[in-house]
Amino acid sequence: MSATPPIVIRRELLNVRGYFIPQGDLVDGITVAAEAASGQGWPDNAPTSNYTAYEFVQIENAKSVNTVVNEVFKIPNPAGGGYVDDEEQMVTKRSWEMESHATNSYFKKLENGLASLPVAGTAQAIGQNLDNYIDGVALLVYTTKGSTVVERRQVWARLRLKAAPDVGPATGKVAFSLEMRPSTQNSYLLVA
Amino acid sequence: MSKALDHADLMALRIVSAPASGEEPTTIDITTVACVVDRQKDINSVIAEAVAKDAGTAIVILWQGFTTLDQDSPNPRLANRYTVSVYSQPVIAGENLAADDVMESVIQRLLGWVPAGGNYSDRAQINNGGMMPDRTWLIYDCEVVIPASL
Repeated sequence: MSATPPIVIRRELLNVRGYFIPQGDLVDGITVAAEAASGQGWPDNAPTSNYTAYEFVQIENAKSVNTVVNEVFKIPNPAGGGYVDDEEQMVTKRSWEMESHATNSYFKKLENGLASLPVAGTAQAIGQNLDNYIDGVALLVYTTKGSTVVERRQVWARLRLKAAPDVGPATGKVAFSLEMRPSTQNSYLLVA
Repeated sequence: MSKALDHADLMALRIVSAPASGEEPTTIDITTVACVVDRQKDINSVIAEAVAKDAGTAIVILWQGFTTLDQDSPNPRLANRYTVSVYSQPVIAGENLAADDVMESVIQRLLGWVPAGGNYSDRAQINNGGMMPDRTWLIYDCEVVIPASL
């Protein structure tokens, strides 16, 4: 095995642009679906023009959040007898949590449990859809403050609303998460 | 040129550009108002000339200085502070614009503005403002802070 010392040794000060196209939308002739098939799959992401209309604008905070399950075993201590702890950890969920002052119709749909995306001037029943998620393809493009792309994550994701904007004297903030779901196309790309 | 003055020039262009579709409309149309960046030259004559010929008001952008936003960042990250001032004659003549309306419109153009297509975390912030005492001019000003990575 060849030597693989670490690369990308740097301090990071990043921005992120986040995009999300829901399942079933037709973009660039492709119906968005978790896996590629005839006429289905993920729209091309380079350049990101297929995703531009689906951007979460003005993301202010983004953090990677993993759910980790611990299991601690007792194994014999080879020196001195007795036991020592052998802890195993497994990541059971990967997600990205974000905040923005800008909401959109996807969040209105989740907040109100609508059966379809809201349209201005058209009423629909509230609380019809009890699921707090929308599945789709998420594209997260990380850049330096100088807009140089350094990383790209693209995953089949479950969009969840964590907090709808509050009403009050200050501008409301929406909090949401993108939870990675299984797909053979999930990818991480270190660009630079 | 320094990024501080580059941003000042961009700010001047932003202020006198007409609001695009979907942007906050301005109280009055200030696209004809002269907007100059103070480069520590003879700014008084520039102001006098601008007030005399352009809508009776002039907007002046002065770079005050900076504070460091992040001591650990990979490259210097500064918050540049600017004073944006609106000068006019104390008595408004004819069709000339009122300085307070111009100041409001300036704020509407700058609040949340992101220079040069950057990220929203680098948006312009508007701080305190008000009327400045002056013997010659009626002056309103406000402080604008714009983050910049060098």
